[in-house]
Amino acid sequence: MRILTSIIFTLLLFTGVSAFAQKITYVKKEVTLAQLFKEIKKQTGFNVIWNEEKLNAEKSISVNFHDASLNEVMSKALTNPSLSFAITDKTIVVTQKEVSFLDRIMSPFREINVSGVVRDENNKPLWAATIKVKNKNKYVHTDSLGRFTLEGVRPDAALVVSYLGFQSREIRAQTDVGTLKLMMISGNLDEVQIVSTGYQTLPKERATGSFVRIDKDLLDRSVSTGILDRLDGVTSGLIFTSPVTRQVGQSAIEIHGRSTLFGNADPLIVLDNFPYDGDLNNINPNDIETITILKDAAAASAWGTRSGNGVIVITTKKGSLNTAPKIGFNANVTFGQKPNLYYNPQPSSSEVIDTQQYLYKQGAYDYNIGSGYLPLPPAVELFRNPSSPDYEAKLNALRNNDLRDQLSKYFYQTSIAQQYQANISGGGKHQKYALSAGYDHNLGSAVGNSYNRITLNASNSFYFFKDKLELSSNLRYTGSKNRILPILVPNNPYDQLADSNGKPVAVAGDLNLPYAQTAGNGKLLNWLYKPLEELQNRYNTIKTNVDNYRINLALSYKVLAGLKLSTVYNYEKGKSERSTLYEQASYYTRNLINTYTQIDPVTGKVIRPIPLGDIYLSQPTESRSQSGRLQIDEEVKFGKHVLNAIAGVEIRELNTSESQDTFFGYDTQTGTNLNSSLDFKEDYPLFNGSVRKIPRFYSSYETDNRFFSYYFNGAYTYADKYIISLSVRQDESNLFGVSTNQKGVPLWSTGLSWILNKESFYDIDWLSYLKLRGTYGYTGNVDNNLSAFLTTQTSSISINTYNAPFASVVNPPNPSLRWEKVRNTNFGLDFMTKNGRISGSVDIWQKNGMDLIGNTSVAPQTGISMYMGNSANTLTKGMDFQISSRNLMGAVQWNTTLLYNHVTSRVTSYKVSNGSNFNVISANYMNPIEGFPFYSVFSFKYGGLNKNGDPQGYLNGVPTTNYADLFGSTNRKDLVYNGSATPTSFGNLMNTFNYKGVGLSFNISYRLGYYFRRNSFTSTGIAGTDYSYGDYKARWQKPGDENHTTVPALVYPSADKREDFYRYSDVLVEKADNICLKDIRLDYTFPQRSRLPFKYLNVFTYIDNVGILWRANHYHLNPDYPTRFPEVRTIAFGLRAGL
Amino acid sequence: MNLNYLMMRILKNLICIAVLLSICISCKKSDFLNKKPSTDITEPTTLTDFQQLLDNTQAMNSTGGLAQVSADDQIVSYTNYLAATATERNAYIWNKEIYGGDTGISDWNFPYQTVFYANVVLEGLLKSDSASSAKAQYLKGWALFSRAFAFYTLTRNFCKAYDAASAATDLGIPLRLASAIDYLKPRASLKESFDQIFADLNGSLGLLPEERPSANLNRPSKIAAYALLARMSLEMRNYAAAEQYADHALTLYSTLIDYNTVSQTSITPFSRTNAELICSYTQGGGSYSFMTSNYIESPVRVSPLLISLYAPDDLRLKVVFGQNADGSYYKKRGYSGTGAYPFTGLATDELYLIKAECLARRNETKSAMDKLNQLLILRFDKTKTYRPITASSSTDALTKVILERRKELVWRGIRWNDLKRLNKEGANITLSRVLNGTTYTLSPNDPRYVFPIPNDEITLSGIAQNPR
Repeated sequence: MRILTSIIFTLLLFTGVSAFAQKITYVKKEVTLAQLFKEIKKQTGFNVIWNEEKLNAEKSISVNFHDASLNEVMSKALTNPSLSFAITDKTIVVTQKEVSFLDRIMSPFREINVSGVVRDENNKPLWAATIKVKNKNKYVHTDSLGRFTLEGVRPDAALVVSYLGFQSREIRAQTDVGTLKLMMISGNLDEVQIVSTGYQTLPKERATGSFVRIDKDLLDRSVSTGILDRLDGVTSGLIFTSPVTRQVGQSAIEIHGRSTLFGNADPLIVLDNFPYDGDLNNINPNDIETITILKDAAAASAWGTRSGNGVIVITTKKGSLNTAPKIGFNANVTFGQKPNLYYNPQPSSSEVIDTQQYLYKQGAYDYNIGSGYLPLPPAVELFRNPSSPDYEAKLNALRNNDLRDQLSKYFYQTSIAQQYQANISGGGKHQKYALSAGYDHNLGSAVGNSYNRITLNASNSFYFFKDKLELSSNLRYTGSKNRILPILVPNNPYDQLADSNGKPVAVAGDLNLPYAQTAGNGKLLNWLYKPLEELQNRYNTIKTNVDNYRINLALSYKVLAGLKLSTVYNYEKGKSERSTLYEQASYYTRNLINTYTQIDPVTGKVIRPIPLGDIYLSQPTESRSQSGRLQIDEEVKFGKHVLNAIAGVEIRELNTSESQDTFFGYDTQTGTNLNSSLDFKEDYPLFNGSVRKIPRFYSSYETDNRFFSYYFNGAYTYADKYIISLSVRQDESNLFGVSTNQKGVPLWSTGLSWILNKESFYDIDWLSYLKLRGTYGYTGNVDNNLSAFLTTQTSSISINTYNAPFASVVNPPNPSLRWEKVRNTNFGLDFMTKNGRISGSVDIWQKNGMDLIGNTSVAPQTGISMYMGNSANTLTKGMDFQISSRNLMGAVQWNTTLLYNHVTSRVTSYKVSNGSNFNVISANYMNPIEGFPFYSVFSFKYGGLNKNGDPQGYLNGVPTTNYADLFGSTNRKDLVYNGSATPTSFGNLMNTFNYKGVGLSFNISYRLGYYFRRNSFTSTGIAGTDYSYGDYKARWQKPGDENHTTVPALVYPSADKREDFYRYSDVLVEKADNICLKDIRLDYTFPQRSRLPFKYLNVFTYIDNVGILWRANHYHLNPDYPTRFPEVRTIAFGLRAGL
Repeated sequence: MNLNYLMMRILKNLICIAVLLSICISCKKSDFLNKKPSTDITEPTTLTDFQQLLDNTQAMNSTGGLAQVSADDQIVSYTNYLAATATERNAYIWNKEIYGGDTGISDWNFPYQTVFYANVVLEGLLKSDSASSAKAQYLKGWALFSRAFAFYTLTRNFCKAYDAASAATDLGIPLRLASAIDYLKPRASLKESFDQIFADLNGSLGLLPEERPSANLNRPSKIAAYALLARMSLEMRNYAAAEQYADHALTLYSTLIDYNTVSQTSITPFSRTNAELICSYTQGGGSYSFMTSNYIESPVRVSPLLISLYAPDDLRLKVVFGQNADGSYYKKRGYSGTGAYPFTGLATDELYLIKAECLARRNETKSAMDKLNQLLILRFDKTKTYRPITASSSTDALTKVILERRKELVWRGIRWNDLKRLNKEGANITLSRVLNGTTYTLSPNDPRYVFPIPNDEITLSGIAQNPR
């Protein structure tokens, strides 16, 4: 800690905004002052502000400047001797000269109260604008009507009026300064947008790439524990996939479609300059200032081989210089509806019992009955004794049970998530700081599940040597505790968990009830399984405790004007301890002990190879990462030419270790266990006659990924209009089995942008901003677990049947292994109308995935059935469109933002055979077909039912029930391509209203052009434990039914292929298109009144997952949650306050 | 003041660190990047690495189970039949089509995995610095033996019974002799396949030790190589060679277990290092666990016809089998020790039977019966009187040896190949099963004795399929 405190300095990334030439060349005979000032602005970026009453800007003069300084130009322009000018931070203010000698003498001795009103260019009061005495620590904020009074000011003092996003103004103090109008910076809010690539920050105007920048306001609009949730529905080019429909290997978030086949598909997350490999739940969303999403090659190539899936750059809040301490507080609570277990229709208990009766008669349970111990459905236990008293009554009782009633009552609840965060930030002349602390406390919708998190964050920056040297530090800590109770998987829809008094009752788990009740004649532990008792007593608990530290240190030195040297260092350490405690009272532990218990048939002596006591499974993981970077930033200006470049080297190491072990006879009090007295190599006979070793889950391994990179990033700007960028990066890693010189891959990109509205010929008056941009280049993907050489795996504890250590081949030799590359092309257009009424951007992009690494099947004669190789090319194309409009700008404000994205993808080459048609249909994500999207829905053409109620397919155009041939066919013409499994068109429409501090916004999201499979009745499903379908009644029951139903008959024995054929036939594929009302937010911002202790107070309510407005399917299914209940609707209440 | 001083010092240090870092980076980069990315992964280069690959019993000593499912050792009730997997059901009733689109068939994939591992080791040893060392020679012999065993199990399942007259044109198996996975092999002829197996085995003979590796019976020895040569020669009906090889093996090791010393109540009567074991192979679990596993409560029953062949005092009735409450028999765990899956490796009892059969075939009736009695006396309850078997003629001797072969080598996957061989010689054995009123039969020399090659192999490599 001592070391920590002594090195808490944070590097603030330099903001190269003031980089404009300050020389003017302008020759013209007749020019108005207004025109001249406009020219100054154009050439230097300096705004000239004047008072219309004092200066006639329409006055014409003749000018002849060659590389003249601003002073020269202004002196020449202001011919009136009573006028003077002051040049401050990008602004030239024309003021009236002092009037009288007496005034000047007297002024130092007088103090006045200055009051006035601050408004924007549309006369709208600016609330919380700052009026500060220049070079003094004296300031005041405006109230909600823009009014202010600054007391005790010397009459000659200069006052600076500032407001975020507006041009600051300097005025001379006087009693009534009247209405002060502030202009939005450069008349264009977009221009101050600073985008961060994680390596540098640059004004968006100077960027050539495709970025999305999400600022604090938009992030704070929604309420969530994690940060990524807040990007859903507000970012173009990015799509979320629900956990239910997510396919194997699919990332929860995709930026510009998928650009790898079987590689890691997750976007790279960069947190304050360095990649973040930890759990994103460790980041408190309230600490985030902005998020920038890098979608194309331009900026992404800065991140090299890990950037193929896009980059999400997260920047946390920092303090600012010369600012009084600002204290902020956030608090909110979110209530989530109890999950609706009745969301999926299912056959009634009575119908399931009828089916079980039929199956019983067919002998389906004979095997389990014969075993004597295997579980049987309660109804089947009854069928075995039809003559027992109350047979009918008992059966009827079962028919009236619905397990979901009890599950809903005992296992689910309204979830509650509480979130609190406090922060303080500010800064002096040479130092700035920001501190925050957050606490989250969540109770899940499953009873017993909870999550607690503490986040601490401290950032500090110090400036030395006339601010040339900057030292900064950022320290983060996250501690969290997660608790999960096991989920109950129901066996029978009519199982009961509690009796009428709410007392837990036993259900058949691994054993049938009569066996569990009587086995061992009292010599065994109680063998009954009572799920409710397990839950109520928390017998099994999975806990995950996380401790995560991140330290970021930076040092930068401005060697010369325009030349900066910096080193950045990042250290991160995360420890996650997952543990599962099975108390001795838990069914898990009792069952395991009993299973191994031996009772001597003669003496009755009980031997327990697994001792009494709890069983504890410990799974600690630890990760450490260190990164260092040495970077040179240079900016060179001459005339209209500006050259910016950064170059650097980066070194990075990520080390993770994971292990697990099981402890038997565990004592939670002392932490001791009895493992040393157990024999894990011995095969023990089990009660059922089989033989097994004691199941000890034990493993341990470490990974160490290392990277070494060089990078260069340069941009050349000419006349503020043309920008060319180039970025090159060489990444090297400890790719195994490859010699050092083959470990790297160079990636590059180049871009061009053209700000049209700055051209002299540009005369579209209503479109005040128009920028064209384009980028081209390569991003990549790497998997360090792959190797060109044969690699084997030996685990320290793996021994063969003769107790000798052994090794397995993990990677067959593949001399032609190459890195994955993605070629990116992006064309974009940014625009804004006059006054910023309508603004937006269009991006058209294309990604060519090349040499994508695939988990490809090979003929088994090779000795392996799968191997990883460069086996595919893909083409993904799309368009992002974003338009925002300010519909009403008066007292009632109404803004609308529309996002529209279109993505199409296609596997253009796949050098591997896809196997049979069944392989393609059932696991398309493993068997992509050339010419179709990677995530496609394929199906068998359905030929309806035959006269026996069996589903039919088509072979050579003839209806057939030869399922083996249908499955085995490799003729792709037999496949039906239904469409993409992921949305091809998606976006959002957000409307925001404001009136007198009341804000209302709602976000409608739409996802179109994709397909999903719905569940249906199958014979294997109902004989198993799958009941999630509503068409049980619609099944074929008698000849003739085939004329009006497509649902097959119940058969026993069920043939897997018959059921699978139906499950994967096109009759069960539905269009997934839908429109949802994603969320609604209503808030009120209090006007500043003396009664309230807050400078700022906003109270809000936020409803998430409001509901589906329209869906294409007729089954009332949420297509993103076709088989289980969807995300619950939540409602949050909260406040944000500032002191 | 102090703060500034402190700052300056920290500053100076940081700058020094930065400079040092950049220097270190440039000179230590290759060291830095040569670090192994995972503790689990190695590129095998040392002899220990190769030995650990060969010691992977899962990959090197596993076989399939189709031959067990299809043979006549066991029966299942219709109820239990229905609970079996589709492949088991199809193989049980000798369907033309077995896999129905299933992939990953262990009878094909396991041996080829073994071949891959063996080839990896053989190639690695060539590149190894210590290729000429005794250890390397031993490992080479081990790998050759493993490859031969794998090729052999493929031929017995996927090829016709060996016939010297037609072997040159009969379909064999793809003979993969290099580990690279970027090439495919068509099926060689059956003769070429056997020639390769013999070449591998003969190559291994000079490299393997004569001692039986009594603690690590997954590892081959010269005894194992001779035992396999004897078994294969028998299948080729080259009885002279079979006898010779059996003799070689028995000279090196001929221990038998006296079943009187074996527990009759234990469900695992034999240890996995039992004295009769020469080289341990086990049917790989998974695909056929339902119909082939040997344990109490197993759904499969020993065929009553088979049980009826044992004399009441035959200890095998109690040691090898167990009796269920309903009087039916189940198969106890065998020579794989506690493993629930059938033993499919090499053991001395088989060598005695090969020797006896070969003697009988060359009319050495008395010697054949003596050899047989050497084995059988150890299978009989010694508290009862053992009446040695005698034969009236060489034909009678042969019949008796073959009957004992049937009784001794149960649940080892050997019966299926005996049926193929004996029917080829005119034994005319027809198999039949009755299930739910339907009778299924398999006539002698039916093409269904040869299993179809799995569909994924056919699809991905296009090699010739067996006619069924």
